[in-house]
Amino acid sequence: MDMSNAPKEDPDNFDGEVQETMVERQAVPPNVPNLLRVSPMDTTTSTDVETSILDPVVKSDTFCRFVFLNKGILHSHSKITLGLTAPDANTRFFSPNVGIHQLVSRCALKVGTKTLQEIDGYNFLSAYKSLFISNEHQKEREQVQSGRSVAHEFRYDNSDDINGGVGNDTQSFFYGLSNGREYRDHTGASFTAMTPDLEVHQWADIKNTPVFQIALSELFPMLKQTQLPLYMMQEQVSVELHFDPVNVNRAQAPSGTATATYAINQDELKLIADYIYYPQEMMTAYANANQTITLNHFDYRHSKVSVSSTTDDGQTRIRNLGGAGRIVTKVITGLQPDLATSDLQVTNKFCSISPEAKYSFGEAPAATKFNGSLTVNLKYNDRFLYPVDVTNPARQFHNTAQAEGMVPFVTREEFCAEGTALTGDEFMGYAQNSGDDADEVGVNGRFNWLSYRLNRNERVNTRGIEYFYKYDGLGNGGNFTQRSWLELAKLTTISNGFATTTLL
Amino acid sequence: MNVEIVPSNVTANGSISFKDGNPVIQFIIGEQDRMLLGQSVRFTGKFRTLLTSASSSTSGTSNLAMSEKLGVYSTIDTLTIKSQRTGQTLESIRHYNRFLSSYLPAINSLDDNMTHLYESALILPSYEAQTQSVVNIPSSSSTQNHFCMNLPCGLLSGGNPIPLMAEAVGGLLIELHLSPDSQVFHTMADGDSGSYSESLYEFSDVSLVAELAEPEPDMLRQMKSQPSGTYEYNSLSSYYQTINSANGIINFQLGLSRVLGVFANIIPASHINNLLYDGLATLYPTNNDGTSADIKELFFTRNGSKFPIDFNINTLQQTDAKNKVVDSQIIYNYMNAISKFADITRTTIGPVNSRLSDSVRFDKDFADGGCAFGVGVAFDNISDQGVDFRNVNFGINMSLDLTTDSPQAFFVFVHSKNTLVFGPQGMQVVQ
Repeated sequence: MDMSNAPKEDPDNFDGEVQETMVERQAVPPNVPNLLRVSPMDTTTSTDVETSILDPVVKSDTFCRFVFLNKGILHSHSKITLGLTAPDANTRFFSPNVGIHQLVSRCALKVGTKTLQEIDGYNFLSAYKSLFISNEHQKEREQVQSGRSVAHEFRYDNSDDINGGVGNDTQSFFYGLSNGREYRDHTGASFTAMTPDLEVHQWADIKNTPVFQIALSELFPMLKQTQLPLYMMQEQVSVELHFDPVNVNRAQAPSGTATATYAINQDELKLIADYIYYPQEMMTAYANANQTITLNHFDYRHSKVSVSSTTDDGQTRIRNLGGAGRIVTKVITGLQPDLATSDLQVTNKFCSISPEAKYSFGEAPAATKFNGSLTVNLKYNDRFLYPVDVTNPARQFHNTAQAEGMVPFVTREEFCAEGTALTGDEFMGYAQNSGDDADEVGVNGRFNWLSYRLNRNERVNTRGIEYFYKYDGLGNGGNFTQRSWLELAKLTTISNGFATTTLL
Repeated sequence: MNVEIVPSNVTANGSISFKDGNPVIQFIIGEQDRMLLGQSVRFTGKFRTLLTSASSSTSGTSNLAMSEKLGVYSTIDTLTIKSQRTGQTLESIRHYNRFLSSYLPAINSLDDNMTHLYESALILPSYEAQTQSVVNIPSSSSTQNHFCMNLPCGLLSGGNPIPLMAEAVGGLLIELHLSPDSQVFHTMADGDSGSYSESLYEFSDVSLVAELAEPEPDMLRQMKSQPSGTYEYNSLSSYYQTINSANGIINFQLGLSRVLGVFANIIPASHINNLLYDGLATLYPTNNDGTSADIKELFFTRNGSKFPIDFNINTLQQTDAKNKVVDSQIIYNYMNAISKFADITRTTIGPVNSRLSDSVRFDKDFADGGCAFGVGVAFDNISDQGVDFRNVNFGINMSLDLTTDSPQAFFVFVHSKNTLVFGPQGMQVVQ
């Protein structure tokens, strides 16, 4: 019976290591030749994959560039490995919701002097993209691959002294983060007095200099649909990564540990490039038959604005996001804290903070116990996207799911700080049930990413897209930055080995 | 384009509750030259629970609870979708909340329930956490609980856009019949159900949101010029019967021509509309003391013959009464009837919540979303065209240890294919 409330894509297949899983993810434009599609081929043709481990041609603590050899077809799941040098002997960790992605502030895929795709604010955008990876997938695979590990488990009580019968151990008031380790008593107190704490695995602890990897298709979403025919390209194809220059954005320290200086481990910067080969005559015939290849894909345009926790709170603001004259398919927004010590939080700045909840577990209902609210709408081509401004956070969650074609795998407390089921137990020493203010440290209200699908199939007029928003009840622990990305339709043409690219 | 539709029978104060005499919420998606994207339809609003009309449920002092595996879905007793133009019923699912109590756990994992279904439908598969975070939420008298949930049913989940033109469906009228408070609520304690006889749930700011597609002018002209059309979708028919003997027999004339599968969930009849028990639990058959009435043998019939499984399912309990594990053949066939088993990649049903009940508290202490038992069988997983049950009976036969006076209510759901035919003469649903 096909009545599922979740979109039909398999959430386990976000990264799509198993090639079969990529087939149905998004419709590939019909003009993309079969050979370049990310999909299995109905053929008995032998396929060879050659793997090269490339060192960057330029590398520093803030930048690196890799250059491909123009041979074969570039496998979209080729990986870039990277990590940090252990600053000292103290435990430190990457944010569980972005993992190693938090190091990369900008990435660009270039062909010759042309930029096919460039994402600014990549580490922030990856926090949004990571919402759509299922908990099971993050816990079992992404945790090892990229360091992302947002998953949940119920925090069951001790069976001795609870209601519900002898030996009943099914009662759970709360859930918490889960990464496969047991919570431990970091205070050393008795069982009833302890504050259980979840810690990252030893192999993910930065003091042990872990090396993680990012797939090219995650850095450059255009590669999810097509693979570059490097052997047909006359120009140099390169990948550029800019590492976040702000030191505290690079890693987090557990509660009680001081900030350190984080340096990119330049010895571990590698690009593990997989080049796919088919029989020579087939590749030659294909190149001759496809002198010109056109690829429809998206690019992301980043913009940001400061939001004051005092003067902007309770005020309707209108922000022009741009996009004039372009075909824009999606708008993504989020609100991040501006805090000099953001590395002393679970999510660092790579989050989107919701308005604050003015209550906590066990309190009696009262008019003073409420959730703050965010009211939003988009206006383009003189019409609003939604007939009535949207305030209901559950509906904003739905709009985000509709925009992405996939549900976010985050909880109600994490998304909008509504509810009381998030545990007060700790993650790396930080209470998980805090977070809905700039100076709070947990994951409560830290996943309030919103996105909007512009579903009228219209080109945006010269006025651009206007974002109407009103925060009511923002926390006053510090100011914020509101970041947005426009998803713009783009056309890339590879003709006689030379690429041209243009926004539509 | 996005639309937001408020109920056509909205109350003066904007709040809707069964107890205050508003048992139906009605939405009208008007007749227009657009197509409704059924999978985008969401019922949205605010939800809260009250101990009495004057006081909220409070943590620490109240044992009021609701089904943790259904959340807001527990409040919908019947979903009916009609044509606005003709009033013809296109789909009606009675016992909708009981259908979902089988359906949702079968196709959503524990993580789904803890994440997106918690945000959208206030489902949280831990009875205590759901109670504290939804029923006893401290904001119940202010911002309340927000929800925005889809309405799983054949017509809306079919995937094909629904033509709303006068020449086709002619607009839709969607009715949600609310469930009695006594069916939605139960007490987590054992002897205080009388304290909650005045408890109620309440909706406010409700609306139906959806996306409509506007066909290109050429396509619209072509659609409107067609003299007739058809729209095929899967649907559910629901039936109810009780058994109260060691030889349990369910027998129905289904009257459906393309039946894909039948599944049933069970609860002691005394638990329905009873604040002492969760009336939406899907329990293993139980005697009146809470002990399991072990199913020893099970088979399904079509026209008196075993079909489609031509052998008896002899359970583990037939030879080992001490075994508390539900026979995997029963669970497999049950899940397979809800959705093709091989396609179920995410599920909550597992050994933890499908074990045999042995407590007088019945379902109250099950982890992972509560008991998830049921029986069922799929008829056609190959051609997906179904089996003809127009003129023949369907039967479930079982031998079980139901040795006390404990009538077991069977909510039977039949999954079949329907075709909506529309033309100048009107429309007809061909089942």
